[in-house]
Amino acid sequence: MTTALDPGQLDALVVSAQGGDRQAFSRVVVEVYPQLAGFLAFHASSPELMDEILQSTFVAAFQQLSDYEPRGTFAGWLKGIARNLLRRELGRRARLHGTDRAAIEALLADAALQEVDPDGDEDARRDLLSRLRGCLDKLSPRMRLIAERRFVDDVPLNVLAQQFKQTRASLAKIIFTVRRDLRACAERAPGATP
Amino acid sequence: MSDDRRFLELAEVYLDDDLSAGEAAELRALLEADPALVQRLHGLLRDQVVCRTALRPADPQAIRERTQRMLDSWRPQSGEIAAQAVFARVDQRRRVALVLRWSSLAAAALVLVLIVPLVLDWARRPVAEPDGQAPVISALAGEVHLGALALTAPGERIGYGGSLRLGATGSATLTWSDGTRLTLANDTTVTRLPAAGQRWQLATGAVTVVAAKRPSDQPFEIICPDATVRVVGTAFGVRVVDGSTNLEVDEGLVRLTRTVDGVSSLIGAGQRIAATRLPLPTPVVMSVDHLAALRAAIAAGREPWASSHAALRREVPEWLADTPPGPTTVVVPAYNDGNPEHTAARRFLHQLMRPLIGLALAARLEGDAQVEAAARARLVAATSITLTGPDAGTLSNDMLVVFGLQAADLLRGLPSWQPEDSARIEAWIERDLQPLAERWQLNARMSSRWRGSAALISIAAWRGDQSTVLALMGDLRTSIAAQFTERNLTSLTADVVEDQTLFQALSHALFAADVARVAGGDITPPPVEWTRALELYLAGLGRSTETAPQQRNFLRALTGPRPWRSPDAAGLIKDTDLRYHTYAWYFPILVAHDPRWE
Repeated sequence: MTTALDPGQLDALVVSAQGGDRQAFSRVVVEVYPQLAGFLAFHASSPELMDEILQSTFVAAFQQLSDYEPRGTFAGWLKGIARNLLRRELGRRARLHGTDRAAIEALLADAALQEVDPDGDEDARRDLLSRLRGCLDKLSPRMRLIAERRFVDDVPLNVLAQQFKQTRASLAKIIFTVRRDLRACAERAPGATP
Repeated sequence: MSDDRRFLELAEVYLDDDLSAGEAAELRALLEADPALVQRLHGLLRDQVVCRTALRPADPQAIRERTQRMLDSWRPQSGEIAAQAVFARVDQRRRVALVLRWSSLAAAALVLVLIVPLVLDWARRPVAEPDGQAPVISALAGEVHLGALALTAPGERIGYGGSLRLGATGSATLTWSDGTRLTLANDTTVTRLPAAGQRWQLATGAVTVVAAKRPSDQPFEIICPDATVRVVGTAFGVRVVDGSTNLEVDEGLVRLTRTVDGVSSLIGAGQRIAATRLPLPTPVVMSVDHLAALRAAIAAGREPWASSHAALRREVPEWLADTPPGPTTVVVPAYNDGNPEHTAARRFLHQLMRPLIGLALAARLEGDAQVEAAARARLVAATSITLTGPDAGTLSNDMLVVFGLQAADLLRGLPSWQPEDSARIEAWIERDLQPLAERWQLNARMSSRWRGSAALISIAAWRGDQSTVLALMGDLRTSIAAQFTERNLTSLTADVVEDQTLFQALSHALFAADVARVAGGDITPPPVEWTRALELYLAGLGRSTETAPQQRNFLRALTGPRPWRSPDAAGLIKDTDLRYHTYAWYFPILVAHDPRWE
């Protein structure tokens, strides 16, 4: 995980935060937020879980800040907290039972749990996220609008289906295609079209 | 619709957290049948998160502000933030406070999960305006303390962190400008917590809430030691005794969430429930845990399930050998006190529907493919029957809806159920069942009205629409309460005809309650008044009919004590009189006794 600051600069901010400088901690959060989000995006089993773990990580980090020894590894330390929280939450969800929804949640959590890898290719993931934004511009105007409404604005399927005069099933298929094409585009060389 | 399109549709709806109970069951069945689909759904969700993250970059200013708010409420040296102090500060600054409770490092992760709604939603949560929402103490009596101040007169406003403590002689009412009222019983302690809506911590005692309609993002919440009650606009009471929450809803709908595991259920009008009993069953006839409990009871030879199951098994070979009828039109004349054509029509349907529900039950209990196929064939036959004539609605409601939809609900939990099957049932409802149910619910006769209600409850349960199930049950309870007064019963039971009309009405109403309980998640036992009124009715019932002992047995079985079934219910295994819908095995297995609640 990298930030706009180098590890030494980040550590300096952390040390200030450990000494009670809240502005410094606020700056630390801003610096590492996008990278932590990028890490969790590839591991969380839902947007809701990603947001939950993302924010929980900062709360836990602030609580445990005095435990951190400044050795230029703050970002990794933070990622470790996030991974532990994610594992624990996925483990909890994987044990859910009773309702159908809980059972689905458990199946998905179990699948996600298998993929909480200790060391993924951070650079490749960051590049992928970056290229995805470029790929959005290459979609047709209608597909781009659907993507923005679904991925950026979180508009529910039912509402989108009405807005785009499609059945739920048809729109679900379109969204699936858009998502798949975006990802395929991002995984190809820069400049490719979806 | 192809399987893949349906899967993608369900996956997207799952992403929205918007699956109906039926859809959740369908998606679960798909995933459990094919592990590759789990991976596919997981990949699809991950792609969604990745796309969302990539296309919605974080706003540094928003992050900074959220972090600042978190820090403003944080005092690491204190171990646990003193809520009152934080709230006071938040009041001054007119900001949303964050309730952060740190007990130990080891507990931090658990705490984080629990406080997610408070801590992690910084950016989206609107800023609360305490002055506009602070209630006034409009009435008080006896021993009432606001913080350390002993109150002697009403008029005080309760700001964030304000704590009201009522002694053994105390009572108080808080009112808001929109008409919302919070009434506190004696020996009650409440604290107002900061929130966009109203959030009150009930430490001990009892409160009654009459809440005006509120925006959904500004709910009224009662935070109890072991549960949270959340409401938009309704009337309800909450009591905390020894740290345990008991909720009673008078009107509307309330969401009750247990703190320790986040399990929640909607609670409808007339329902009473302890947080320990959550979750209510979702609207399916036989959920997985219900099925497991039944199988265990049968395997252990526990009664009445073991005998019921044995009786069911005895009949299965005969049903398997029988061929269901093809599409036909059945004319149902008015009953007119024993019209033989009416009786013949009922018998025809009975001979179709009784094996249907029996085979569906056996298939669900045992997973036998041959039995399942036979049940499905009968269900198709049932959907092909056309009922006409003056009393078509009666038989549609009694036979087709209640038993047909319950059988369909049982069968859709099995792997062979296809989306096309659900579409067929939905078309059947739209074409035949719902119009008749709605017409009958408006009928002048009590027994017809309640039959219509039972049918509409079944339809809503089939559709996974728990809100409608609970709303209909609330209406039904109100209607029953109005009819089953001691005075009404005294006059009605003196008349032979009315006596039997009342029996029909009562049996259908109670049966509707059973449908709501089994298929709609309403596990509230009949109120005490019903039982008292019923006893009075039963005492007079013998005058009017030779079958009074059976009727008495049936009604007692329906309304007995907790688990609100008379031990006599087991006797119904031997009583298969079709008039009472007491299908020997069906009644104890599916309706009268739920082993989960034994």
